Amino acid sequence: MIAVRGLQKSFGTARVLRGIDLDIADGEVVALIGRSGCGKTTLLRCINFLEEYDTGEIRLDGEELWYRTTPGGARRRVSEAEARRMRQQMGIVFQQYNLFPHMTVLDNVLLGPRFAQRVSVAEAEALGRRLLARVGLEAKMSGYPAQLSGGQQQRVAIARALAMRPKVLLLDEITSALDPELVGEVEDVIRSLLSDRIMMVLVTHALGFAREVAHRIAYLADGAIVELGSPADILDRPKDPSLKEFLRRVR
Amino acid sequence: MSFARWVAIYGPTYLTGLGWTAVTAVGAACGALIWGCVLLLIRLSTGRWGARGVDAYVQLFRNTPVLLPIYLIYFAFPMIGLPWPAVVCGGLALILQNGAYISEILRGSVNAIDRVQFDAARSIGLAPWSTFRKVVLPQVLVYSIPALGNQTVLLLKDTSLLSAISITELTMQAKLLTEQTGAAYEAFIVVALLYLLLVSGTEVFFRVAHRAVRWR
Ligand SMILES: Nc1ncnc2c1ncn2[C@@H]1O[C@H](COP(=O)(O)OP(=O)(O)OP(=O)(O)O)[C@@H](O)[C@H]1O
Ligand SMILES: [Mg+2]
Repeated sequence: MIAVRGLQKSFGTARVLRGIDLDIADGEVVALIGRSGCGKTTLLRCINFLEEYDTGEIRLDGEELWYRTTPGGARRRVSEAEARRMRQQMGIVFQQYNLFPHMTVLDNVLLGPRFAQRVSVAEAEALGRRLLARVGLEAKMSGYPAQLSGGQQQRVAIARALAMRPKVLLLDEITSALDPELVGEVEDVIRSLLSDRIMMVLVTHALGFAREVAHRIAYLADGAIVELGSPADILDRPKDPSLKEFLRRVR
Repeated sequence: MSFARWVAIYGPTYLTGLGWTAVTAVGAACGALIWGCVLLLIRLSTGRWGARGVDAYVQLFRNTPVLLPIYLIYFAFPMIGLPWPAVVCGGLALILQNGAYISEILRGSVNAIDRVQFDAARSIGLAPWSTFRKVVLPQVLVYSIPALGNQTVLLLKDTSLLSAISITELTMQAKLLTEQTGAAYEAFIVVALLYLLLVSGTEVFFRVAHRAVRWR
């Protein structure tokens, strides 16, 4: 499980996250909604330390991530090697296409296992094929990203994240750059992951999809979680005025 | 003397020149590419001071004529107990200078890589060295092919400066023939044609290489 406590993050003078508390249980899917600029991406990037944060604590299965407090009370980042090891327990897929264009689809998926986890070639290839089959792209294995549709690229990106055997998957609006007719195939892949009971944090504007796959939905506004509850609570019985306003606009 | 007869008689002299020009150009081009990659790695991996060091190095070579390092290495190194053969001295000078230019070309191409790829590389736990080797360098080299082609043509022409330290490359041979026979026109026209051939060949090579990249 993941426990986020009092997470704060500023860019210069702009306070983007103002004390986030969030627990994610094993096998739980939490959807993160909120208007543009409220800090959803920043929160995901802090969780896997693509972004440093100012105060607060993130634990994964009890282990404190990213920072250590010295006996003197000073806060220090863990070493780069430590951070790499920790990061491998998480997979992230971004909104923009982010495959490595010069590598085949299979090599994209293999890169992490081969060069970050030092898995043998044969083992990594077997894993890569299995994951690509799972996202329905085994046939495109030796193609290059430029030859794939946006939906297919995002499915490969999911396979690449899964190849690290992560405990949690962070998905940042992974369908919002796609043509509408390609959204379904990517959502299908996410649905198929539910049976694996992998933790997921899903940033999305697709409220219908959030209702369907998420166990809980968190509504983020101005860098804080304003309301958190079951999809029915958040989407059908919202309490916070700004959430009501947000839902009215999105629908 | 007819042109055909001229070529028949002095063909071997030109061939020797062609050989040295080709060998020094290919050798120096490969060396300069490797040195350019090393400079790029230093720039990207050693923080502010490393980058400043590389900057200073690049400025030094950009603002001095190549003949300077050629002479320096050829004449000064023996004094400090390094009497290297002329080709080695000349090749080294060309590598040092062209490596500086190439590192700048490669640096420009790094900017062509989408930032999100660096996030992706970090997110799968790739170490900086693996990221450089597997993600950055292959893309940077491909994006740089046209500019590297231009630089290689410049380098090819600069091998003529090696005549200054008595390497018998093409220009040197033409000069020697002129001195022997007094036929400056014939001597240099043939050399000009040979350079044209070499330069065209180089350009074709880089164009083919550029087209051969399948992922773009
Ligand atoms: N690298 C950065 N430097 C400075 N400000 C930033 C940076 N990244 C994000 N911000 C600011 O932080 C705020 C939150 O950005 P963030 O990308 O987390 O929002 P978001 O909720 O993901 O929005 P969207 O729905 O548009 O993706 C925004 O006001 C943004 O301008
Ligand atoms: Mg965002």
